[in-house]
Amino acid sequence: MKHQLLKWLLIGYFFCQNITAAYAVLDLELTKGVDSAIPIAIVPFTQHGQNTKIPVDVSDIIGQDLVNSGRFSLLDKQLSNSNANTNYSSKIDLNFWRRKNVENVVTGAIQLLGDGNYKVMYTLFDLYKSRGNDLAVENQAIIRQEFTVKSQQLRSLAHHISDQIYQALTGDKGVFSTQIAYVLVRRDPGEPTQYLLEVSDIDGYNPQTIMRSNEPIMSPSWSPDGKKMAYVSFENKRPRVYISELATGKRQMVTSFPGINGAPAWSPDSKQLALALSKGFNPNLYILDLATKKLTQLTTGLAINTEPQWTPGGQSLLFTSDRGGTPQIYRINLANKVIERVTYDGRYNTTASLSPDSKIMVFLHRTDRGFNIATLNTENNNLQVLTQNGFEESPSFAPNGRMIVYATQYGDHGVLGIVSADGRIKLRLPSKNGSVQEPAWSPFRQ
Amino acid sequence: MTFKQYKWTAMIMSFLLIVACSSSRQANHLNGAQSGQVETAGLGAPPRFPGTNAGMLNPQTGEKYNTVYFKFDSNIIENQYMALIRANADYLKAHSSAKLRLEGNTDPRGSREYNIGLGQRRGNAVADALEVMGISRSQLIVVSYGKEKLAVSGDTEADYRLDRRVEMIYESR
Repeated sequence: MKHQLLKWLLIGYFFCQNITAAYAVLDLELTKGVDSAIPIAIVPFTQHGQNTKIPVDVSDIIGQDLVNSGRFSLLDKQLSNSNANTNYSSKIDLNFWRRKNVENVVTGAIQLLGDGNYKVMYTLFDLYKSRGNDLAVENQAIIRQEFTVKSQQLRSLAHHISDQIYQALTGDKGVFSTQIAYVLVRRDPGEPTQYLLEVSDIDGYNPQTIMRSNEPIMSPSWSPDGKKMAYVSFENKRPRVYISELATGKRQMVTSFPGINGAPAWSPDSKQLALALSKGFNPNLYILDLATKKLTQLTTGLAINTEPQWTPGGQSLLFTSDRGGTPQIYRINLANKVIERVTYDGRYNTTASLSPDSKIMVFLHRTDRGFNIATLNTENNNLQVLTQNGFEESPSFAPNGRMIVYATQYGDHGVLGIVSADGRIKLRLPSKNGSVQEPAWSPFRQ
Repeated sequence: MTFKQYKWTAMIMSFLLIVACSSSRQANHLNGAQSGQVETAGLGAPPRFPGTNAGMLNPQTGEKYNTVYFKFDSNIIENQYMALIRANADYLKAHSSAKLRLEGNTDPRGSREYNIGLGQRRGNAVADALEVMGISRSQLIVVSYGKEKLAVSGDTEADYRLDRRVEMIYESR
């Protein structure tokens, strides 16, 4: 099992080296998987029709997605291939696959159509869905689907198929079709430092630049529908909060008060933005109504109050404050403005947010080994430290609440890491060209 | 001395000369207009423009010119920086249209937005000191960069000390 994983990692690594150099900034690399990973075989999809080369290896992407989730172990590609059907059909050799100790098999086919589109078919078999050898193989199929897409949609279709397989076999919604926003910082010798706000697929492909500046960019925040991004830009030597429309690139300045304009966070109904404004003094929390531009101040006093994050229901905000002498997480009830302290363990707790089901709070927690990502179980108050590097920051939940993306240091530059909410799975997304920081995981695509 | 160095020195000298001229004129004018106020500082030697080397490194200490450095988790201005702040106060007093940007910075540890708050506190501390010296807040702009513009890239205690700073940069003179 361990060897198979390693082999696949190497294959994946060399594949990435050869193919992705041109357009992927981040490459996923699994650093720690679970022991109870589900064994699955992805049979390379057969090609039908003309002899044209299919531009995207759909079955390979599905395999990478599932391995990178940490919850699957892939059967060796050669082994899978040795029993590949020359013609994709609804039948597989059940006993052959059972002897390979896999529980699930995916087969599929791609066909180039006359109009230049591709027809993609696939079947997911669960070998142990019904026990007994006399059952028809067809009954073991749990998903059978067919799609017609343009060639530039093949990659996102592969992620969509991964989502379907992942959900069918784990019960959780897959996040392979989601994206991450992040800030890329390039310090090329002899050049002014460049800050780029980018969005890429979760596996690092298709990085797209939303804005580029010679002054810092901070705190990207996705609107709940995934169509807009709020962030802080220091262009003209002043921090300002902006909102960019992702489809058009159109942007507007939202606040430009003296001092800090920072930490924007969308309300779950998309109508309001929580933010930190200092107006010349210390930062306090405010809520901006985006339609009326009405600004409501939530906190007062001389402490730092920042990093507001809405709870999933929108009734309160988590935030960071040093009102007690050290930075800790607090919660403000928006109905009655009552503030209560949330963290008591340790002298440095910041950057908190809740999982979509509100059961887990993730935050930055300082221990004697530095700054690490930790979770607090909101039901039993159990604290778990998930990372050990000591240079971590900016945790952000995946929309399914199962994974957390964060920023860390690897060598002398910033990279992104992904850890499962239970700490059992870890991935690293090394950057090829510059430092990557402040990841924000997108909502589900709507 | 290479030509480049020569050119630089010449530029800086001529600039200082211009500044010195204009500031003494300004100082006289101020004194004349407000005869009720007695100024004891800045009359003997006209205040020199303190921001000439802003952003440049002092090769001896690795510190930047016209910059105040801070201890860990502190926004208290140490005594050794008071003369530097006083020089800027004198200049600002003599040049009422001059604007000074105070850029607050932190070391690279911890949350980015929380560090923005800490950097703002340091910038505000220098602004408060200038205000006590009689400078109007309208001549000062505090911008916190938190840990977004580190002075050095290392992770030693010495590197962190150079990161925790307020740079004083003139937007107009």
